[in-house]
Amino acid sequence: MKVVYPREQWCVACNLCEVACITEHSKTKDPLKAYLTEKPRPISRTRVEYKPPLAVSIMCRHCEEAECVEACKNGTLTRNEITGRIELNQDKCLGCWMCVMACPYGVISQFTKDDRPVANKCDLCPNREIPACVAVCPNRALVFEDRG
Amino acid sequence: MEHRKYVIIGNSYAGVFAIEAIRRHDKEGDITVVSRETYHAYARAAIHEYMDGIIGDSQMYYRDRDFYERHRVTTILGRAVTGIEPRENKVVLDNRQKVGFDRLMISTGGIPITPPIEGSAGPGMFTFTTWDDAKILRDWVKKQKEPRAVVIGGGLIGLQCAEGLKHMGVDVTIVELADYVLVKALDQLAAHRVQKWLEKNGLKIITGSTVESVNRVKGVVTGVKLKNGEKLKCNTVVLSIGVRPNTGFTEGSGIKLSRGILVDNGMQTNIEGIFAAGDVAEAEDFLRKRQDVIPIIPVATMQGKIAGSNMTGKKRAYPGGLPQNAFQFFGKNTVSIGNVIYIDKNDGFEEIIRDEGDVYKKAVLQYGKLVGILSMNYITRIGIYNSIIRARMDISGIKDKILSDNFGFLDLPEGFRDEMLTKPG
Repeated sequence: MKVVYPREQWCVACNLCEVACITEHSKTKDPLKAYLTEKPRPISRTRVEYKPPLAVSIMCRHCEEAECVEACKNGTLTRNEITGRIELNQDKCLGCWMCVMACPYGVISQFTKDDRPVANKCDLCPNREIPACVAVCPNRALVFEDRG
Repeated sequence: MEHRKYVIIGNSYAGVFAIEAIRRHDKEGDITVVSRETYHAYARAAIHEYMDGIIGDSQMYYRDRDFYERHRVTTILGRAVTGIEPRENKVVLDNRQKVGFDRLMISTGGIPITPPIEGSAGPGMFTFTTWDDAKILRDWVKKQKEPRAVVIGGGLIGLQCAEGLKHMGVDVTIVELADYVLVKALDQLAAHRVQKWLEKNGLKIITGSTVESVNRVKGVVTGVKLKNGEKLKCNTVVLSIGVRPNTGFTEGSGIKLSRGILVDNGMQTNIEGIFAAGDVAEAEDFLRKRQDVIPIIPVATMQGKIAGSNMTGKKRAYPGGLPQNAFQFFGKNTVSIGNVIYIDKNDGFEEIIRDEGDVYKKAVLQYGKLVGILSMNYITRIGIYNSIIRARMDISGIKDKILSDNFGFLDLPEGFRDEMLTKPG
């Protein structure tokens, strides 16, 4: 299945992927409003690591053997049998952070929704053909590919 | 493919993953699940949050309501298995019904250890491992005018139960035999911090002692007496000193046991066609390279998945279990992965500690390889350490960076990073 892969040799840590991710997952879809006025402020589901001269943007890989799904206490994380994507149902999440502990990529983050602690991760932008981070990346340092 | 009959005993984490794995590889075979509980698969590890009302029924069910129909599973709920007849390939239920199988998986979990304590028989005594346990304890506590509980055992289950009771307005005292709480997951320093935090939130904790007898007046619990002579007033006693693998029904079957049911790296017992997974199984420990029961969710699910796959004939090997847990008390988080306790400087062990304000982090290395990580109040990206432990790579060169908050893939060798980031997960 298609997921987002980073190409670290092309990443310049411009952080546009993070901005695009926050905007895409905001209520207003407006970067300024998303950053300044939305509560809770959406958080990016990709993370840019920057240690000059190296940079890389990392998010959920929707693993075949998803360790987050295996660690989840109550079935908040499941594999969609049709798309193959790993889905996170925040309404169900208990904020136990078993997934944060289990994810070998360290890409599930802690978030607060309706005053409840919930996990947060890349959903591959279900309403878009190409995820927002990939679409915005000026260097093609993020690609949306099936490397089966 | 021959038409196979699969029987799974136990309807929790390992059982569900076995069902999913079997159906991935065998669309035709019959799957039957037997459980002594009557519930649809549920989140056993969340019963404390259910008890105090933080979560409701919808958050308790582990899979969608149509899970069994979609996977074409026959359920026999509310029935315990009392015996196994391997020569006839049948399991015997508590109503004497026999269910035949071609492949059997035992995932009956653990049952609470209940040592004989004077005065423990009768109302007011509870264990805390099932959904019904949580409901019964909740209903009991609500009936008490001044609910006062003594929780025997300061392990994870005991402390979670105590927190749940506290949220319900119960006066709670925890009695732990060891010198500190959470002895299996934490080192002494971390345990003391957790203990202080629990006390700050109103729980009372007594360590280094245990309950000798439960006092009753006309059958009603009035208090407990500790080994150290101390007496505590209470009307509720929760016994949570631990669980042991639920294996009683295997007696006479020829299935080999140690502490749990011994399985090979395909999760198969000594009897061909009979598998075991989860808290009842004793399988390889990834770090220590010996058989052990590791009663945690990620181990149960992985074992269930591997057993299920092998039951269909699709061969898979178990990579070994790695103890790990994430837990929180009154909003503060702790994660412990691998070996954070056993440190022998003569056997190449070394610890790195970062202790700053609220945050306590510890990494344990053995001959340069990461074998354990403990982190309190900062768990961002903690799973990366999981992959470092699994990779068994030498990290002595980056020791000084390993506990910094912005530690990440760019601190790790390029080869490892490539393997992780450019290939499918």
